[in-house]
Amino acid sequence: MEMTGAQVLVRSLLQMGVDTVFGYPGGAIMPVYDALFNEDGLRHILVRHEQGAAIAAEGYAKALNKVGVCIATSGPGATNLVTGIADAMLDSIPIVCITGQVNSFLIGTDAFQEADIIGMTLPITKWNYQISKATEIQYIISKAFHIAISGRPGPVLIDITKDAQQELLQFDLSQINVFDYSPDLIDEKFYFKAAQLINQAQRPFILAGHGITIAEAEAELEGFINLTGIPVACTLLGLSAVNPEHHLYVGMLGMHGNYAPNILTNEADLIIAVGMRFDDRVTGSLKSYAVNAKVIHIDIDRAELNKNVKADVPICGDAKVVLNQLKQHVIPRNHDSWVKRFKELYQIEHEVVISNETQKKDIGLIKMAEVINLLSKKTDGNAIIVSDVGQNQMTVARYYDFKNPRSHITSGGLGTMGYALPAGIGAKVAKPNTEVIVVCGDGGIQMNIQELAVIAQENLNLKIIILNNEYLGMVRQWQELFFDKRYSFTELLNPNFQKIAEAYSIPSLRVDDHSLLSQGIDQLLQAKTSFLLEVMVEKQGKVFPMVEAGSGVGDVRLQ
Amino acid sequence: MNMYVMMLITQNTLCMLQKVAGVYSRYRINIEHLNASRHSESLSYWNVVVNTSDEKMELLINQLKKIVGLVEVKVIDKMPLSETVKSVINDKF
Repeated sequence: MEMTGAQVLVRSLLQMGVDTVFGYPGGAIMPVYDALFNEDGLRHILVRHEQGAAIAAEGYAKALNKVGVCIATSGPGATNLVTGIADAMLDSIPIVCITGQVNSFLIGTDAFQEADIIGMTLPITKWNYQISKATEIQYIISKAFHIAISGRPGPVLIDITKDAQQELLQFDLSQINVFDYSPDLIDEKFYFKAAQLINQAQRPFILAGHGITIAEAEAELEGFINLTGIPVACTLLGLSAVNPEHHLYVGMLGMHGNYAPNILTNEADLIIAVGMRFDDRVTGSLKSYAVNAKVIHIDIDRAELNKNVKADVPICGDAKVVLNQLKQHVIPRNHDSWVKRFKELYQIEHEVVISNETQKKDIGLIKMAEVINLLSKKTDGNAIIVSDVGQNQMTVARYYDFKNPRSHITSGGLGTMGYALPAGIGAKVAKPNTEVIVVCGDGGIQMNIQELAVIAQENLNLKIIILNNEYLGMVRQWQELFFDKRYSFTELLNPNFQKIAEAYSIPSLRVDDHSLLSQGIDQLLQAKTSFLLEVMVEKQGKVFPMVEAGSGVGDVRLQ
Repeated sequence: MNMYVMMLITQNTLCMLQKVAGVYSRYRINIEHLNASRHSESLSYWNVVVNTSDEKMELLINQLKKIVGLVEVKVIDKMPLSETVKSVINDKF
């Protein structure tokens, strides 16, 4: 059958199992958009800014553990994707970005809307490629999907010149493609050594990261901790890998993580890191990190082993496979007195921080933690929460009890403000029957506020909570603690969010009093359509505990 | 600080030089000498000489291995740097 390159591209996407794409049309991608017109098998979500497309594809990919796809035109369309691509690179999210490019004979002539997007995205993609002949399309698209999802997932960008999109070719759907990329294999020799350390350890401690949810190894991890009796803490992106009600779950690691897992990292004699990369927000100062511990590091990316923390036993492999293998070599044990240490320290944290933050008071302004705690109870931890970046993100991570895998979606590595709304749209499109709630600050919502239009146009039942403290809260917190209370450009004069919601036909409510909070959340959850709830929260609110930048995890402060 | 002579085999495709060079520059390792030539129909053979430390070299090689289209990377020679060369390097940064 004779087809244009653009039609082949759409066929190839369908062949890869794609049913949803996020995108924005423009000059150099018009042949593709023409091929998308009336294409029933492919749902196209029209965003309002290309950054929204890339981030929505991420939200979609995270919610489903499947490749997300976004489409943009050349030049500014492509450069607008860059933040989302960098975000996907740091958080290991499989997305395939398809960008239009000017005609191949115009490349290098500074043509209208020409940008060297291949050069620009080299350091922030797992792989990128420019297609200038229609015959390449099918093979390159299948290779792109294979690279994006295999090994450690990541973003792939495919740039297609306009003439390749328009070129006619004979297309045979039954063509079989061969790949020439295979990620690292597993080092089996280390299992025995790792098991020996685990069987001998007195105070072992598991750090579970994003790799668990990517590998869908939640059940394997639970089986492993049940057998070995080792306490487990999650990183920010690892949250939702372990049910928070599990008796061996001890909380979140890192700068604003729980008190016990941070302090006890330095008391542990064995650290078993699974699918995490010892990010500086987790380790604090490396000089005083895990000072008494031997380290078993399990990661699928060989380049992460020995990168930040030297591993005594590095194991390169998929978390699911490795945990299953390790399980066969370890003996059943329990570490009751060691686990008790975590519970004791949790009590301290509860008295000093948590009870104070979450309990309802009659006077004063609402605290962020109070909102999230109430939301967690009312949804029974079963909603997908998409948080932005900053205090709202840390509060969600600390106070929402994620009961289902992949129910916590946030920008971890890059810390992209404006992430929550488009990622929430992506997650809602991916899981229309699950309650998806976007939680963001008054700063972050304004960074991609144009995407509210997508909610209206696609008739999405997406819930939005704005925790409004009229400040860039996390920066303000740092200014208060470390910059002598010089609040340089962090105070925001905000628009009327309810009027904005109204303009996009989204019902809304503003809550500024404790007595109305519970009712407000009920109204949000009961709404049959999308809903925006603006909660006025304490301006001076700070997230604690906190490991100051540059200090060790042992120096975590409670106030 | 040592001088390393590295051997790389990559696919002979567009942008490969940028992809490889990008990893060196990300780790702030200056390329002292570079020679790339055709190895076979579809492969290129590279010789790269750099001055750096063992730790950085390990990180560099691990990251290079992640490039799609890089077939092989090896350190084929390593020698300690003389004090004179070291002082010149320090001047450069």
